[in-house]
Amino acid sequence: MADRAVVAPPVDRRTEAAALAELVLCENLSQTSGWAARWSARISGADGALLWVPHSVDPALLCIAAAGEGTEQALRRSIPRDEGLASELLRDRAVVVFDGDAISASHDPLLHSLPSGIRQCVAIPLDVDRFAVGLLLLLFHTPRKLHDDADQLNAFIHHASPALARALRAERKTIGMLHAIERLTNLYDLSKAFTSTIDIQGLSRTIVNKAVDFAAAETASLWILESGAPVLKATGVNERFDVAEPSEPAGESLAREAVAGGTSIVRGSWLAVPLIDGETTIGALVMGNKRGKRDTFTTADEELLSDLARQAARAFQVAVERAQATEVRVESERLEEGLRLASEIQMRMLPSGNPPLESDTPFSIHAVVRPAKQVGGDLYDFFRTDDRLCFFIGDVAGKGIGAALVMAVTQTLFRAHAPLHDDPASLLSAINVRLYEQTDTTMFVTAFCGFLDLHNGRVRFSNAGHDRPLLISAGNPLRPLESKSGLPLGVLPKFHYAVEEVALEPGDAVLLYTDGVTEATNRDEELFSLERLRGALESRGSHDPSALIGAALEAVDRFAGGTAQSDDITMLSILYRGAGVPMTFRRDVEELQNVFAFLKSFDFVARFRPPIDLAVEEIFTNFVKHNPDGAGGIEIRVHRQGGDVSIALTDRDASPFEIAADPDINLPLEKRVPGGLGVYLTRKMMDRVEYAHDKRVATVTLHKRME
Amino acid sequence: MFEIREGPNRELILSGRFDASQTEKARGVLLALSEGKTLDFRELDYISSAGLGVLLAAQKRLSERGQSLKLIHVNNHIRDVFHYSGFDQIFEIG
Repeated sequence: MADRAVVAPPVDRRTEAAALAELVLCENLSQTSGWAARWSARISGADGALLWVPHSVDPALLCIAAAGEGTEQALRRSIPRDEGLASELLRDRAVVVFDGDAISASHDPLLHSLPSGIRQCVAIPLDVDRFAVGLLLLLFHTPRKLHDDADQLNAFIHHASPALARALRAERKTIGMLHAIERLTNLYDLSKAFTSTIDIQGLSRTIVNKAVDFAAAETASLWILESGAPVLKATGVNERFDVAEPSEPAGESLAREAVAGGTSIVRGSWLAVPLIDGETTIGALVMGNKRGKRDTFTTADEELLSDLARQAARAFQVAVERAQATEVRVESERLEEGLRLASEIQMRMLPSGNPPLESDTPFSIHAVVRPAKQVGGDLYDFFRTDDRLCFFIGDVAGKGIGAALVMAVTQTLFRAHAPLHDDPASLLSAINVRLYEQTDTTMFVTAFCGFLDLHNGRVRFSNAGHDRPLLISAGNPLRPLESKSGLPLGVLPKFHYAVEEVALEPGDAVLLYTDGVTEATNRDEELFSLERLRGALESRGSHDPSALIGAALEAVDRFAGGTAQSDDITMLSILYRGAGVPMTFRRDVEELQNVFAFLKSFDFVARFRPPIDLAVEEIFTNFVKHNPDGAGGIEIRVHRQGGDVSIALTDRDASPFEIAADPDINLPLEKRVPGGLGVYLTRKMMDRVEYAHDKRVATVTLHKRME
Repeated sequence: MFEIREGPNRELILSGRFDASQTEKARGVLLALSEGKTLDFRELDYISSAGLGVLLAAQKRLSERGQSLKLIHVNNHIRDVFHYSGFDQIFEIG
């Protein structure tokens, strides 16, 4: 049956020349193969010819040229398959002649599709250097012997085969290029489609839609690994095909397999491709039912979908990261807003650092909190009762919202408890108990609390592990207030703090601060230090609280040079002016014990106490005796300035009275009377006594220099 | 706190602060004296004109009977008060 047509020298030189001349006009594979089919039919005297050329992209043979009546029809009808006769013939490289019986009996589509009336088919494989370039089918209505035209045909084939090979190579190159371009275009389209989708749901849908489109598949499902198991994110059906969306997404096990293996899997009508971003497999794409010439997924589909899967994986990862980043940003923005609010609330809880004070207030006060970027836990507070200024500074360990809350609790406790306690130690102990109950054990607060007695400048204070305040006193070097430091608040359920005392002379100031001041850092991470703070305070001659704090802040800023501080900077300063607040006593000599106690609180030099007591007693009892039914009490105000003390006694409901004439102290006993002696003694004991009366307000002012 | 009590030698010991609010208590004791007394001031910290007034009244009353009060252990402050008021001339201060 096989009969090899062997190369022979050309017989008809004219025909050959005409054929070759036409070849020059062929620009591509299609024209070249058409040319070859036409001329081979003509040369061999066949009624028709078909030329099958193996295509580079689709491994199936493509029918690309026909000549003769009816063969065009055959060309359109037939879709040969690589597993069919044509490829078999190509592989065998032998000329095969099929007669009419063989043709009609054959079920091979190649022969089956031939136009009717063909009684003989001669199949001639064409090759160049043993590479198949085509299969020529010569078709005859009347069977005949091939040998008749064999020489001339062989001569033509000898020229046609290399021409076809060149055309094929060119075509392959072009197709390869087109393929590459298509692939790039696809990738570009994909990346554009993928990156323009912001939300994960939308992206998932885009991925499956693109996948069914690109692979010409009916369905696709996207599986993404969540905690190691594939979770269905989206399914899609190809709109080009009339397919119902599957009611149940299939392919979970395939997805699992593709993820595990890291490569694509073709199984039956399924194709699963893993989604790999860099080194990370994030899921798989499962395609169902290829639609097309052969209805199975090819390696080309695998390649195409691998490209798509890579793009999809990247896009998916980016989307997830973006979503997380957005979430984190939203969360952190929310947190930041919360913290800002907390900080604002916190600042509002603190009393103004520059409270308006009446001109005769015996103290000046100034306070500043400069919060760090993060909400911290510094606080100060102060409030005044008639005769006392309670002040407090605290530093909650830690930062953030927790510290801010503890700070708020601490301040609330201070406010609530301060009026109930007569000394700062019992106040701190009370705050400590409650802080310990209300906060977790890792939270604690260092604090310093003082009670300034406005009559006499005495400060009783207690220290709970806080930096010792500085005492700025005229004529003395600046010094820390020596104090026993107790445990910070909130450390132990019960702690007894010590009370200590310092007497402020008029003009003395104290500065309370938190370690945010001394531990402020510069670019080189050096600490501002207590030394620099002292230097800053001493450089300012004034003891005015706002001037002191201003000097300290200025020095801190100069030192830090714009370096952001990690801790709150808090300062509270109090200047004792010495113009003591008046104390009001009942119009009753029985009040004398209280008057003496009041005077005692000023801690006058011992030897001056009795004469001062006496002078005050004499004037007080005079007021009482002179006007026993007067309205209101009798005020006593003590003012110290250095060694000078002046004590003013005021009766706001007094008729004018005369100061009694001095008694004659040299009279004998029987002539002496007690009257007038008190005022006389007062004048003797004091350096100066002033008397004023205006609109029922009588004031006697006693002056004494204590030296 | 102001107090008057009798000492081991029948002297009267004054203690504390003899101010205007203590005159009633002092009067009750000192104006009831019918004979001369030594007043021991060693525990007396303070005295004002009100106290002087009581002492003056007591001294006057006793002097009518030829008796008198004698003061001992007087501190500096009280000594000053007695001096300024001329009472050091009407009391014997030991």
